[in-house]
Amino acid sequence: MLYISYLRTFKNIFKYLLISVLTGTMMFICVTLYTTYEFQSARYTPFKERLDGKGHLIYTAGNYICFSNTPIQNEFRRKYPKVSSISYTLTDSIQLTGLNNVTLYGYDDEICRYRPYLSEGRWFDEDHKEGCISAVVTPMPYVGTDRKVKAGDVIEYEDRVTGEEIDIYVTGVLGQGASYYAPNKMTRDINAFKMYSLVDQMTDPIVIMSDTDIFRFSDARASYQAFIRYQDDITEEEMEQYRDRFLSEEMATGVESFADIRTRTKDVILLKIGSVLPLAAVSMAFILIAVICAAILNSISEIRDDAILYMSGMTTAKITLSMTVQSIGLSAIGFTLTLGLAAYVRTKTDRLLFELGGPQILLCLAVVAVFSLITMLIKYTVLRKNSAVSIIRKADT
Amino acid sequence: MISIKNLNKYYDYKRVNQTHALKDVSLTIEDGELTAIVGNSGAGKSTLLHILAGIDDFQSGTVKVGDKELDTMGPMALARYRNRTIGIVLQDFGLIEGVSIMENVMLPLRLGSPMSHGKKKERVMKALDTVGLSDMAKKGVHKLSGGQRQRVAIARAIVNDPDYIFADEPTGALDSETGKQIMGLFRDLNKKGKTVVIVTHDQEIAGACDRIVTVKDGRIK
Ligand SMILES: Nc1ncnc2c1ncn2[C@@H]1O[C@H](COP(=O)(O)OP(=O)(O)OP(=O)(O)O)[C@@H](O)[C@H]1O
Ligand SMILES: [Mg+2]
Repeated sequence: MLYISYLRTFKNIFKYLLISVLTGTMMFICVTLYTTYEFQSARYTPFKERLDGKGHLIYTAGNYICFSNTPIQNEFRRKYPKVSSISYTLTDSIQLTGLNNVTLYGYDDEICRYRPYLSEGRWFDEDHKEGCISAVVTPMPYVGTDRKVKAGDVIEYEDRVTGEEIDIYVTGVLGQGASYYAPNKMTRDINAFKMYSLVDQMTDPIVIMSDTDIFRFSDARASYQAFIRYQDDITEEEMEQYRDRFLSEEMATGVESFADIRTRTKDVILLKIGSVLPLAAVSMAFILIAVICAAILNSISEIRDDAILYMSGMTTAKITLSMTVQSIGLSAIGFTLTLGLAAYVRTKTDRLLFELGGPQILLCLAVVAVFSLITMLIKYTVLRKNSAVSIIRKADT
Repeated sequence: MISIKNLNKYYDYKRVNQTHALKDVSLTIEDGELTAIVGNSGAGKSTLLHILAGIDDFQSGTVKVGDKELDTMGPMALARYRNRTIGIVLQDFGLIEGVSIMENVMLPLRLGSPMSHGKKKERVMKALDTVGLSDMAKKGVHKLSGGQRQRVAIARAIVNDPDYIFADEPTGALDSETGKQIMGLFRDLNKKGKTVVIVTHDQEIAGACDRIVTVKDGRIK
């Protein structure tokens, strides 16, 4: 039976190559689309849990509330008993040897779930050097030279207060167009995507390390942005009261509820998908139609051969099955073509959004399944409508 | 022995346009006979042959070919029956275009025989030898004349060494001289012990058979 699939395929190699290309293109679109979606929504992942449930994101202007100051935080918790937890990011602004003033950020594990695009090196938790703090930096020059900071460099720093010498080992450099979490940023109508800043020519020098390493810098303090989570039993009115009190009593410059941020984030994701989906859907529809036409033509043009196979001792079920085996084979070739195409495009640009993870493989399998099912259905219908006898009869008269 | 008893065949059964194509047909053909089935157009000759060949169904009656009772067999058993027990030859030859004579003749072996490729080839060559085409095995079928095509079809029908050969108008598309040669082939096969049933319009072909069965309006006369 495998032989029959093989025989059919090699009889009409060009027709089948075309079908393979079509299914391959379909897979390519699916994979690229999904990778794009994953890439877009990846920046939401670090905040998914953080923004879960009831809470407020508050912006505090400088010295009024500094959550990293324990007495201030205790006082805050005493005044607002429904607060269950406060998350914030430590930051510092320091002068490193040989560099302009830089801003430090200490990312926790949750924030690290989103890995920005690096033009070189690795993320700070993937590389270590004895006696050094690992950090990732935005592109920045050494003062007075045209040399830039590179992955592998070690930058020295002497703590202003303790006098301790700290060595920062650069594990990677963010690429142009990468987004990194910038906890000092305050924007209107905030959503998860607006919590990031983009690396471009104007980017301030930033040094990113882990939240445990940043404690070595004695000046490090909470950034102006803090996530305040409440106990589940807090009422809407209480939340409203807290909001008002944050703004009046604590001099907060902005207060946003988690629920609002979640809604806006989902709107943005939908919008981003919405912008590529129509084009992708239209091209998919065209290819699907082409594939169906190919499958129909294929089934009809081969119906005479089917009759001969039937006559020579094949059951209708086996003929349909051999066709299905062939479809699977053809889409497997299509899959290989897709991989080839991706590999080729990669040699031209490093920004192709094509990655083969579990979901993408599932999507490709779905394409195989849909195509095979369509051809199988068509074949089965054609064979039922035209029994071998009637074909033989038509051929006979 | 082929034994048909009270066979009834309807097309579009139980629909308004129902046709009663075979009416209570009973017929016995002994093993080793060379039988012609003749009759007017639309009499039911092809229908009868297709039923014997296991490619069409029927509503009532029994059909026995050798030890096979067709009315009780499922699709798998019928497929095996078509593959092993019988050979079918059609008016338009029914060859797969685009592949060689060898591949066409080997098809029934490909579909069911667990023998080695060498053995299959041997069988194909033997069948081609019988029809006088053994020196053309590698050729594509599109290059052949009508008579040669029909020889390939006959080679395919006999490659599995079946006991029965059913042919529907095997000479219908050929000129009379070529038709006579093809008929000669059927006679030879019959002499080798095969039971051959040929549906034909051609008086001369029918006359060359041992026995003539006439079908008229769905009944045996
Ligand atoms: N697929 C079909 N659907 C409906 N009626 C059919 C079908 N095939 C044959 N018939 C009818 O059954 C009857 C017998 O047809 P059959 O083809 O067996 O005749 P035949 O003797 O082979 O004729 P011919 O010499 O023209 O080949 C005819 O009335 C024909 O119209
Ligand atoms: Mg007929």
